[in-house]
Amino acid sequence: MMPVYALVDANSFYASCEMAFNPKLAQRPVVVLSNNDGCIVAANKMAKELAKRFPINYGSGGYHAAKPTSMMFQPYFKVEKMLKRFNTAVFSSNYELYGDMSARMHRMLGEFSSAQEVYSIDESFLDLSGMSQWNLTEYAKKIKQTLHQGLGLPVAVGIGPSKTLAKLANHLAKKHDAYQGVLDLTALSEPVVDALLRQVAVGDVWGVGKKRAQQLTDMGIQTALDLKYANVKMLRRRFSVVMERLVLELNNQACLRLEEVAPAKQQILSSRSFGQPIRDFDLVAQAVASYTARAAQKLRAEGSVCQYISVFLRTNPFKSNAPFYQNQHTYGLVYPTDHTGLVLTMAKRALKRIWQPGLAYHKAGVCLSDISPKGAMQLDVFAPDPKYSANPKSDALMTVMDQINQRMGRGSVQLAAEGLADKQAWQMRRALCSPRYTTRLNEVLTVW
Amino acid sequence: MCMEDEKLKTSALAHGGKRKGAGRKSGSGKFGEPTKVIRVPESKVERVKAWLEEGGDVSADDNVHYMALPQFKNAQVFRPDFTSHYDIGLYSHKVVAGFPSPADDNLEQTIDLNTHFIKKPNTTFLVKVQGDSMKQAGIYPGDLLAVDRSETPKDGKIVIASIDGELTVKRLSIKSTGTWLMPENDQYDPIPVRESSDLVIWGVVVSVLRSV
Repeated sequence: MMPVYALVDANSFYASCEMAFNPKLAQRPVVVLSNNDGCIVAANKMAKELAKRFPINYGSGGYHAAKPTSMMFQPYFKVEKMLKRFNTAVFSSNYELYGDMSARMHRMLGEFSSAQEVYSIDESFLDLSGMSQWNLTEYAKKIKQTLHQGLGLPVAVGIGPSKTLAKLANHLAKKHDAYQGVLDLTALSEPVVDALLRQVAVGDVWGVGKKRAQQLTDMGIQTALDLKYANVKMLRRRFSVVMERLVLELNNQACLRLEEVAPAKQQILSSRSFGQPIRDFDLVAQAVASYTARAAQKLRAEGSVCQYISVFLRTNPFKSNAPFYQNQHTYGLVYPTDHTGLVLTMAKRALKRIWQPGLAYHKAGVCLSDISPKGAMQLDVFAPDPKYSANPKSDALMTVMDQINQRMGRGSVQLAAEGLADKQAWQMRRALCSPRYTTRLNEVLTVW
Repeated sequence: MCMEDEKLKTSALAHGGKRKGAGRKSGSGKFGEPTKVIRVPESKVERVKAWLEEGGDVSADDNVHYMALPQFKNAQVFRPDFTSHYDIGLYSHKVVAGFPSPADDNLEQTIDLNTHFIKKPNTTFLVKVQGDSMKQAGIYPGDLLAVDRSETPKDGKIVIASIDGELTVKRLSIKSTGTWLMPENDQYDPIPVRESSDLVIWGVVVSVLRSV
């Protein structure tokens, strides 16, 4: 049986979530900003078209994914003037709202297929194998219609005989208005599919990064079609088996299966830019303590332990009139742990090592790595009574703390090292946040 | 690789030591599959043994795969907890005071208010009412409404409508003479839906939630 996969994703997910609760926005350009209201991370169709009509050369800067020709991922201040002129609605990232809408969307998509891989906050792969006696285009339209009516979210559906082709079909479905957001490559003949592949730049193929795209282009492989008919053996030698798989996937051979259970994380990173530059050690230490507590909580939620703790710190790289400094330090543990207290001790020690007085810091972060499942630990004859690791008493303390925070809301119980909430000068700026319509009873939508 | 070969050779030639193929075959024991040595708390040894004797089957519950929810940076996901069950016992008998209650034997089913008031949790949203335009329909200011967006709006249903971008709760009236948004309060006028007006039905009201 030939496998058939669908990739369903929401168009401009964050912006669409805002629009779902605010019908007035349908007639306005809408953009959503990243943490600290820094860069543009989502824009609705109207805003994107505006940006196309009034192109700005953005130059360098912005996120890694930013291109000098597009406003996506650019720092907000570069686009602000143009957007203001057209009465654009600007929002800070409302993660609670997007998270809840994402969970609803993925649950609804799960009902359309026997197997589902939640690929990102707004993308799911569905397994549609064995359903080819139905008209899959009609089925995809039904998925699209159900999500639009039920959640107010516009989605696009791409269907193909491999995950790579499903992703590509999704890309094409959004690019051409005539498809109305739905494209089934399995319903088309090979020459037609090839004609479509010719329209897709090799860099837009799933799994081909910026660097690989450049290398392939230099070899004369410019489009997805070129890649499909490229010499597999040569590509494998030059790159890797990953590239070989990609070519096979473009040739209708499914090599990648659905990952129904997300693999345990290799590392947990908790970092954020500060709301304003900070020179005071105690304040930075508070921020680091808070990120550490959050990371350790995530670790426990996964049922894992970590063995390495890194802390990093940096000043603002975009301030040309101040010296730029960044550094990081890592401590390893003899016994892996999931205990906030121990992780915090190590994190603070690391922070002291890299701290340089007199600088205005912009960002700090904590990274837990060498993560493994928490199992029964072999006890050590030299440490018969460990304080943190595999100590039932400290485990119980952490469990109670997590339970309280889950039931009463995040931050109900916290370590004194994190500082008091109203004194957290380092907290991120989110001045333009919309109400948390779906998760806070006192912020739900009001109707007349 | 080279080292391995060497070892193998010497062990085959030398006297004593491990002979290849000797000993009990892996998987020939009473479990019919290869086994592993593990540490078990002393107090639990008997229980683990007994469990293995019974066949050591994992119960069906342990095999349930839960869908992984998306993970993303810097985000905390709050979800309305639809898994909660506030069960209220439904008895078929009255309990007579002073007499041993036979009710426990007659516990027939329980009521879950969540599933009663919210049939489709994925597409149901809560909204708050401001104003008294629907008071004759029993909808008062401050009431919470459960609104299902997947429900098809029909004539006679109470809906949340977006008219020119403003959200309003009214009863939908679709007649041959035209479409109206009807208030249920004599002090308010019906809102005609004209060709030119920009009407979107946001959702259909399925429950009114109010504490008294």
